[in-house]
Amino acid sequence: MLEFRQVEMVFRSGRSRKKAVYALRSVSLRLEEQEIFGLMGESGSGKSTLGRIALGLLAPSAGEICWDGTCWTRSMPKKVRLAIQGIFQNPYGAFNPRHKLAYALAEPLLKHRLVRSKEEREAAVRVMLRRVNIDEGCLDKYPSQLSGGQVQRLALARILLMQPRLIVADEPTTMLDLSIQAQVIRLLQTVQQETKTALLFISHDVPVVTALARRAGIMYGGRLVEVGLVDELIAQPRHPYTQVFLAAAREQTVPELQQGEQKEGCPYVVNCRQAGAECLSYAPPLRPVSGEHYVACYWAGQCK
Amino acid sequence: MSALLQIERLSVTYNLNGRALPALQEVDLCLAPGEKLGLVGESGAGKTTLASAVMGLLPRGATVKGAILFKGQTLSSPLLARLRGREMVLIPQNVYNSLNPVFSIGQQMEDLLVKAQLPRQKRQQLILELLGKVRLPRPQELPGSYPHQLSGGMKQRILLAMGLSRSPSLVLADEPTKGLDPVRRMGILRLVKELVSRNGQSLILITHDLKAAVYLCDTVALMYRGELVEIIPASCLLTAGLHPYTRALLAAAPERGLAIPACGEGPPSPAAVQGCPYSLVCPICLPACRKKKPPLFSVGPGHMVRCGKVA
Repeated sequence: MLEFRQVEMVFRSGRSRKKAVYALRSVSLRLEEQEIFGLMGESGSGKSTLGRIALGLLAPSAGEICWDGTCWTRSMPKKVRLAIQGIFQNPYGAFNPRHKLAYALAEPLLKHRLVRSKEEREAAVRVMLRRVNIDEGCLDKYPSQLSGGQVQRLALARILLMQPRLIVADEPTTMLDLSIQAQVIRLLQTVQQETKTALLFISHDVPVVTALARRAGIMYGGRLVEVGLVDELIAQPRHPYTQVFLAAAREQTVPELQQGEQKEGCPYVVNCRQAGAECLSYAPPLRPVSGEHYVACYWAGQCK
Repeated sequence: MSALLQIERLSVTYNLNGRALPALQEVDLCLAPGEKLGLVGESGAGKTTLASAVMGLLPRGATVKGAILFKGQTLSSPLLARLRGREMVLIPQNVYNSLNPVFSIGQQMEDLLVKAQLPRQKRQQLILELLGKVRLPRPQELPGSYPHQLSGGMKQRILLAMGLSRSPSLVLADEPTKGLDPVRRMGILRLVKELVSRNGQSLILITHDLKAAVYLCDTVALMYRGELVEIIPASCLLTAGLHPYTRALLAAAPERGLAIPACGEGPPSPAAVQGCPYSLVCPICLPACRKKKPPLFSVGPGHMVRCGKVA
């Protein structure tokens, strides 16, 4: 459905744009129809950048993005933009604090002229509120009067009104309590099953991704280092970074990672014990190891 | 051994535009020297209020009842002024607002040490030593840098270094791993564990990361709406938690099936609940629980539960 083809993203700053941060380097990824894909990685690995590109909030520096056969490099066609919707970490940031929720929820319908009458609009909002399990009384309230979990569910309700085919969820539960997190994740699960939208779930919480996603990818230093079915990835991580990442999530002692400034070559080379000359000069591409499992490491499978 | 910190029937009530908002209700806690206590609960449970009460940092409108004893002495404001930053330190939650953006890291760290009356040369040396201790890369470059040049994880480590610079006997850490990715979270947890146990310091870790509390602490205290509901040895938490709220929290973890707990959402209701605060949503509540609040029952060594059903 949505496909990234060798997408690059460079942020330039400083005098005469000389400082460059390579946020994404040659990322290729295909999201399938109706699937939940979990994107994991440390902060700064580029996972949110990829999400923002998927939403059309950023234009990649190079590479191509395709949706159902239409491809573009710079600006996303409007038709696609409407079909991909996002929810973010801070739900309060998604709502204008000075608008009541009745207006906030109806706004996308008004703006994109998706409904003909007021009655139709109000009915659509009510249906959505039921779906996310929130009382209609909230319509007369402001976002600040509700709890974080409620506002996040309302943010989800609002994007569902657009009937998206892909939802990009960028750390939607990081700020929430454990019990509220369970509510939001459960809701995402049901909504996905009912509406059959695809979901790109960005998070560094391994248990959450494991519970939710079918496939997952791990990013490091702007590159996708491993992609595969979640269960396979957890049971048999091949990339050395994935191994460290998953071990740390299980409270096992892991070595501390150095920040490497690696322009060419594998981003993990400074931390890797088995890096050879080829790792320094050329970044390993994602190669299949079995079935749907891909890994970007020359040593994949033989790493300890 | 006498307790380092003893909290006796501590109640804190905030005043919100004339409305009384109970944040803590009759909390009893005891912390031995060198003990590491995890304070776990959800937003609004009173974890941060408890830490602020210990540090004497509650807002002006708050009413405090009960007593806090530090090394046997009742904490009063002149005593607190002497202890704060020396004997006990708070490592705050929000790393972004906790460093002054217009002063360099070196200046801010030195400010703390000026009061220790060390010569300048010694101070610089100590700062580098501290930065090395929290395993920051290239410590010699850091004193000259400003907070905006550092990442969140680095700032967290600098706050840790600042907190430990005067070797306090009690460290309160408020959500030190919030929002960190697994590798960095583990790095901070290991670092705190190592530093604190090396010096035999006591730690109060405020978190809602149950697994972090198990990793780092000896004892875990669970709070619900301003009350302690269970105190349990950390090694037993994941398997032998007894209070229905503890169980609900454990079951809500993604690896345990994401059960939606009956906790109720939003801030605690200011209306005083008669009986057990959890009885409103408790699945195993007895009629007696609604009338009278059960006391903390001892159910094993170091294990106490406030639940009428368990008794």
